This record gives sequence, structure tokens and C-alpha cells, in this order.
Amino acid sequence: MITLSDIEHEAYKKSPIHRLDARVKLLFALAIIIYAVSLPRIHENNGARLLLLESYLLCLGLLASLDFRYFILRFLAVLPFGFAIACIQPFLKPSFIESFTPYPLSLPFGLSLSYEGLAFGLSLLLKFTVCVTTIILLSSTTRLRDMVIAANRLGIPGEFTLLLSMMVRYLFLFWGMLRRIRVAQETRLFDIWNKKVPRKWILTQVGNSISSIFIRAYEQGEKSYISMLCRGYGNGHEKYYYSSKIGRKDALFLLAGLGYILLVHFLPKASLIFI
Amino acid sequence: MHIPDAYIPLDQAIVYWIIALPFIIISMKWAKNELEEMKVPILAALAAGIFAIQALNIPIGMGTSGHMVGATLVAIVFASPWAGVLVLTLVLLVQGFGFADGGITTLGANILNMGVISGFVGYYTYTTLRRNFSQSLAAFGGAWLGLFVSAIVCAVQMALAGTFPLVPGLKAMGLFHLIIGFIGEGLITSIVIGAIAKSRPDLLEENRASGTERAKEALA
Repeated sequence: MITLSDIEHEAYKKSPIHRLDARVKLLFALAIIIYAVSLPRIHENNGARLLLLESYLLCLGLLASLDFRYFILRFLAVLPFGFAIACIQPFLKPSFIESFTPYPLSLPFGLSLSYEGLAFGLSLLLKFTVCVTTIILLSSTTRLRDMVIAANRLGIPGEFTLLLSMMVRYLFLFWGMLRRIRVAQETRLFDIWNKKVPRKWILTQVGNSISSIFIRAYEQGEKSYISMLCRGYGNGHEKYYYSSKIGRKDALFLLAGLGYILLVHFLPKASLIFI
Repeated sequence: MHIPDAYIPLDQAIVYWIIALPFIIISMKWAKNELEEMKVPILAALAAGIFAIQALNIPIGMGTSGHMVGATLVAIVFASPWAGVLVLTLVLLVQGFGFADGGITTLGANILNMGVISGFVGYYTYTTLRRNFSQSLAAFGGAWLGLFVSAIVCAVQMALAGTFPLVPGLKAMGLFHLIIGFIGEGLITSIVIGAIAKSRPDLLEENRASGTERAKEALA
């Protein structure tokens, strides 16, 4: 199981991709995701285009020296829902498809497959894979804190990034608290699936854990505010972020990425089918 | 209920972003104007807390488990649905960009469902029920209905996107969230509100308001 600290651990590694400016990585990730989502629902070139994008992302993952096991585990953790919805598409008849060509395969329970459903399901699965790979790559090479600073520099209002940066700081604190609660419960043999214990009691215990996290989060906020006041914080104060410039390498990375997307899009049909 | 990227086509995803954006902006304005400056660190810490709470599994029964959304809970504590919108926006942003849980293009739709609809429906159901029922019952009803309505909207969005047919989607999502909402959201929200009312009653905005009224009456 991958936890918050594993992700941050990967993000602290050193590699050419890790060293790039967070703004550039954020823009590149947005470009890839928006392009992948914007592809038509069913198109003969979808498969080749998305596979080309995925291979580019995997190459970047290799360059960033990401741990393979970590990468697969993270992918598997988010897979179930998207995978299930994509896999049932061949059996459904989506409303936007006007005529169906049945797939010559007889199935029990009155189910039938269609070519259009298969194509839609496959393209959905590939799009989902590309988007998830992009986010895993982004979050494993960029620290959460740097992402917030990048968002601020890209024009997201200061009040909002102030909230986000504080939230990111406390994320690890409450993640640790959650882990401690789980360990404490396990050492006392607390199991939410234990059928010999009344369900109402189990629910009350879970409710108590959640209440305790909630109240402690609130009190943490109060404590932080008091310590901020001690350091002279007042209404209208802005958070200052260290300055950094987009270098030649960063610009090159972004241009190469955008160029690759254009290349994938305008590649001659014949070569795409060949792939 | 986190809709991933690509499960809503880009044009529809943009529409949901356009609907969700004014709510996010107004919730920011609310945090700035209506609240004392103290609430900024509190909202940030609470968002981190809700993030951890969403990772805690709640046994639903029949081998399934669910997790809380928490928009109604935050809205009840701050006595304003905008608090729910703001905290859930922060949580969903971090989940989307940091964990690939939910999507980036579909973030608008997810904020709309889990932040705006769940927060508003939940909070106003709570205030309506509060007139005639106890606090814990009102919190239960609000959180349950908030989650249920947002699940129904989510099923309609998936149907419009063409990824899941309407009637089976409504049945599956509706029934599933009817049960999850009952235990995971409703019962737990009422337990948490009860615990806050017992240990830190001053955290509940409605108690503060009534406290000031009581003080004014005493002075008069």
C-alpha cells in the first residue's frame, strides 16, 4: 500500500525531471491531460495516439528514476473504478452511438457485444491510463509544496494558495495521526469486520476516531493562528515565496512536450495505423 | 463518487467547471469577509483533517466499506454551506493533483457534486429539520440527503457523458449511496456533531450565535 509519505519520498529524489521548475511540470501535465480527454470518444487513431503519449510518459518516468514497484502500486490503487466502467462499455449501448454493429459472439444472459462499445471502452481505458500516469509522474517528481507555489506563480489568487499551502503542511500531521489511530486500534484487536462485536459499537468507535481527528484539526488551526499572531501575522498579510526563474532546460522540456503532442496529433494517418 | 478524467467529455467537463467556479470564488469571498482572520488556519487544518477522515474506512455491511465526504459536517460546524464548498474544493484539489483520485478536467464536476450539492442540500436540510428535531437527528438527515442527492446528480452526469446508462446508473448509484449515506455519512456526522457539542460546544457556530443572543438578553 502506497502512503502519503511514500509519494513525498519519491518526490524528494534527485533526477533531471525532479530538478525542473514545478510550473513547467504542472503546465505539461495539464496539456497532456486536456489533450487526451479532448480526443473524440471513438476514432480509429485514438489507440495509436494514446499509446504514443503513454510511452512518452513512461520514458519520462524512467528518466526520473521512479521505482517500478511504486509506480505499479500507485496505478493499481486508483484503477478499480475506472477499469470497471471501461470494461462494461462493450456490453452497454451508449446513447451517443446511433447504430451498432454486433460483435459475432454469442454470450449467455442475453448479453451482446458491439464493435462501437469495444472501441469506446478501449479508448476510455487508454485515456484514463494516460491521465493517471501523468498525475503519478507529476506528483512523484514534484513536492506538494512546490506545486502550490507553482500554482501561485501561475496566477491562482494568493488567498487560495495560502489555504492550500497550509493544508499541505498539515496533511502529513493528520496522516500520521490517522496511522497512529489505526495502529492503536490494531494493537487492541479492533477490526471493523469482526462479526462477533455489535455493529453499533464498531460504528461508534469509528465515529469517535473521526470526531477526534476533526476536533484536533480544528484545535491545530487555533494553535497555529496564535503562533502566527506571535510572529506578527495580521489581516492582509501575504505569504512570500522565494523567487525562481524558468531556465533554458525548463523551457526546452515544455516545448518538447508540447511539440510531441502536436506531432502525435498531426502524424500522417498511415504511420499511426502502422503503429 | 470521484469521477476520473476522460469519463466526462471535455466540453461537458468545461460546463461543470463554469458552474462550479462561481461557487468556489464566492466561498473564498465568504472566508475573507464573513470570518475573522483566525478562520484561515482553521479552514486549512480542517481541510487536512477531512483529507485524513476520507481515508478512514467505515464498515457499511455485506462486505463493503465506504468513507465520509464531510461537506455537510463542515457546513454545520461553521453554520454556512460555503465552508463545505471551500474545504471540499481544497481536499478534491489535493486528491486530484497529488493522488490521481478523481480527475483534473472532471474536478469541476466533482467539486459541484461533493462540495456544492452535498454542502448546500445537507446544510439546508439540517436547518429545516433542526426546527422540529434534535441536533443529532437533524445532522443525520442533512448529511444523508446531501450525499444521496449528490450521488443522483453524479449518475445523471455519467449518463449525459454517455459512460453509463441513466436508469441502471440511478438504481446502482442511488441504492448504493442510500445505504452508504445512511451509515457512512448520516450516522457518523451525527456522532461527530454530538461529540463536538459535548467536548467543544463553542466550535459550533450556532451555539456561538445563541450564546451572544443569550448574553445580550442577560444584559438587557
